[in-house]
Amino acid sequence: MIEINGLCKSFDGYQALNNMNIKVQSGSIYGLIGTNGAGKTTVIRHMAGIIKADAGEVLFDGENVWDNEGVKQRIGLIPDELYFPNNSAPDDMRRFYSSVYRNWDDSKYRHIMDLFKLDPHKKVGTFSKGMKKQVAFALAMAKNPDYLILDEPIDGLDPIVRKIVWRLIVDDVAEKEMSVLVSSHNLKEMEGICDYIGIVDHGEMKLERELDLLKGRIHKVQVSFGKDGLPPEINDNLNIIHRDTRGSVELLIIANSMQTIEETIGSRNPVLFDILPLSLEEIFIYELGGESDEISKLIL
Amino acid sequence: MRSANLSCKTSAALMKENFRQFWPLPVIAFLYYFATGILPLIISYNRLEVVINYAQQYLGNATVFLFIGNALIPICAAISVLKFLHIPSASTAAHSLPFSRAKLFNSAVLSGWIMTVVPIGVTGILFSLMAGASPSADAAKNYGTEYIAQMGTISPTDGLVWILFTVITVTFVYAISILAGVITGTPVMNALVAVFLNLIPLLMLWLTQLYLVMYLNGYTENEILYKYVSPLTYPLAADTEGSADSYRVFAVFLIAALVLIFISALLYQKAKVERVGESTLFHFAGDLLTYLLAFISMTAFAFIMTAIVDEDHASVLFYVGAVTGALIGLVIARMIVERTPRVFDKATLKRVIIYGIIAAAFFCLTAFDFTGYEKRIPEADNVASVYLDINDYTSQTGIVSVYSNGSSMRLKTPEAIALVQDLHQAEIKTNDNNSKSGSTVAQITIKYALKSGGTISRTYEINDSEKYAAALREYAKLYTNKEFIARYYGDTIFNPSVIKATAINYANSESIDIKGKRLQDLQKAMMSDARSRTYNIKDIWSNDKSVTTDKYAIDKSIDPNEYQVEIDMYDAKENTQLSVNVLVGDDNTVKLLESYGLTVSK
Repeated sequence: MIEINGLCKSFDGYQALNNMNIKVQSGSIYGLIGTNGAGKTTVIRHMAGIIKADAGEVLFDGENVWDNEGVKQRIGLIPDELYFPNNSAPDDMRRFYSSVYRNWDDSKYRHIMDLFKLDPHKKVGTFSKGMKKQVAFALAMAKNPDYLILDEPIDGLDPIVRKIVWRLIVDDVAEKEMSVLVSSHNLKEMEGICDYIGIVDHGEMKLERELDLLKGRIHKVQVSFGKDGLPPEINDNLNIIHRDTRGSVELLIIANSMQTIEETIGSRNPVLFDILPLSLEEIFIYELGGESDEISKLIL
Repeated sequence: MRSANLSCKTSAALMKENFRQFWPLPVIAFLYYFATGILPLIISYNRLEVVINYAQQYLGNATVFLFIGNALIPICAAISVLKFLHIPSASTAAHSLPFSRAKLFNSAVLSGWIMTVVPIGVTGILFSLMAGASPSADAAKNYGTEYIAQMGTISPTDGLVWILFTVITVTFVYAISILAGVITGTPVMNALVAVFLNLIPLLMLWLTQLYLVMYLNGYTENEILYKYVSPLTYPLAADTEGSADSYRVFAVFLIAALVLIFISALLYQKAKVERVGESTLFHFAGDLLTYLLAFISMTAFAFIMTAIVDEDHASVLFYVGAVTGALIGLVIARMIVERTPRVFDKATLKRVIIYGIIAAAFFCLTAFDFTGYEKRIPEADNVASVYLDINDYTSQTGIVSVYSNGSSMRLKTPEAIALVQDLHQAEIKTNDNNSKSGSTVAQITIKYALKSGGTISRTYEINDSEKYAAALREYAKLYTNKEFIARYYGDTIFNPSVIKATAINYANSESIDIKGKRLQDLQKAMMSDARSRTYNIKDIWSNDKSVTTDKYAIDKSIDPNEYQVEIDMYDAKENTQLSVNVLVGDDNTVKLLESYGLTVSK
């Protein structure tokens, strides 16, 4: 488990992080969402042991990451700005990392490089931005990390490669209980990937939620009872957090379990009754009290 | 701070990676040393006479090639291996690796150092292999047997000694460059600050002495310090490497380098990696550079202003220049540090005020002599002896007619010490630090060796202006003192290195060489003449303000221009030590020279 407790950091008087708290459970994927300059990269740089906190701590299974070689051995990082030494080829990097990381897996590296169809002997300097990201991903995954930290990982990747990247990550999470933290400025990217979502703004954690709980609790329902309209007991019993009427058809956002919704609405013989999929953005917007909430600006 | 933070551990993988990335550096360095040092020797292997002087200079690190190489190679090495502290993406990559900061630093520093010294090691070994180099068969014909006999050879140990001194030199420069790298945030700033910090001891010493000489009457400029501020300048300013002094000095340089590395390691532990990409990683580094640049700019402007105006306005313009220079230097420094021209804010104003206070304190300590430096003369009871260094231009005054350059003597008798103190007192009363009028008669450095073990040194000028009348009288009295004459003729004119004198009569272009026993007789004759002289300094200035040369004659019987005979003193290498004019009244000398066959004509 990764724990960030009360993390504070200021840069020349600017408070970049203020009492940041994050918990990434083992075997889960945590999505850290925020606009540019919200503090995501600063959190990640603390997590990778690159910069020192003014206050607070970053613990990996209880161990502080700062200047801790043992913990860093178990971290895989893909930073926002990649670095490859001049004139180095992916294989040069492989040689270096294989001598540095105890859990280095050469076959995994080669497997991923093959998946991406990258030439391991070609100079990285000649690669496109997306290809460099793929090399960085292959190198990070071949470290067999217990904790994977990704800063805007799919920027510059095409949809096919994105799919491969997520599949490889999800496989490792499932197989090895790897803990993953992914930062993004776009909530859509996290759709169907993350178990937890944290939204940061101006260096503060605005909200943190487990997606399964949210998804199980909020539902979008399209329903019609003809001329009679929505029975009052539905309105009273189902905790409708948003209602939109179009003729005789009601579009409801209900914060309740699927079973209760089905039982309550189904028993009243509706003319039309459909449960529609909710996007992550919609879940968060409604969870937070509607589209007008300022948080919506952060996640749309 | 945990003690583990400063461990000596290194990572072989990191070092190997550095070697992989930066291998061209040692290769180019070796080629440079090879081309400038070994290649000339190989080409002239059987004609050693052609390159022996150059080779010996090279082995003594006293060539410009080595000065440049020994400065640039370690600076480049430091910039290369500390790239991970100056490029944001490299910094992120390096600091996320599973290494402690100590291990990162140690591995980088050690790999850079190895890449710097390996080419020196190889070159030094090649030098030792050149020990068989010899002069050509016709060398004596072309260069003379004496030259060939004295020219020396390359010994197998020369290369090893060269390795030792060169490695210490580059280690010192490298350590300063590492320190520069740890406090700066970009490769360009690392390079600039590395050059700056390597030069700054020399520059600050020079500038400080410039101010002290200007403001403190009697301040003795300590030129010997220049050779001790950097191993780069030591060989250019001092004896050849390999002397006992050089081993001691270089041992200190090595210790200093290790201390600098240790300080750098400590600073790196505190370095704010989030500032990578900015000019400096520490605020204090930016301020330090700002104040140093402001001081240099202040000095440069102040002295330039005084140089371009007439003397009447010099002191006002000195301060105008100082203020202008300080402001310009400070603003430019802030622009460099903050990497923006928008530096005109409260923070800069605050720094201007702080610098103003520092500069005011500096000027108070120098210009206003708060410490009483100018008036300090040790009590005679506390003085064990006095060393005098005299640069004479006195032929015009007639006190003695010697053109000497830095003659040095030690006086121990109370009478001689009292005379020196009288001269010192007269100079203090003269209080004419900048010698604004008159031509120099002599420059004299008085160094009191105190019984307590300390020393007090003062340097004064005596010139031909009326202001110096009292000082000139006291100066002349010195030349009547028995011990002074004995030392002056014994240690200075006939110093142990003088093996030959050549007496020249310029009137008829006649000359004779005087050696051995004759040389001793000449010394006796000249000392006898010196003892018989009387100096009666007239108050010439009270009668005639427009002083002319002939009025300096102290004794009417002495007319320095009357004889056109000069005696030049030579050492074994035929270098002229000094020249003495024979004066009217030097009867014993004249008689002796005539007995040797020289015509002494007027």
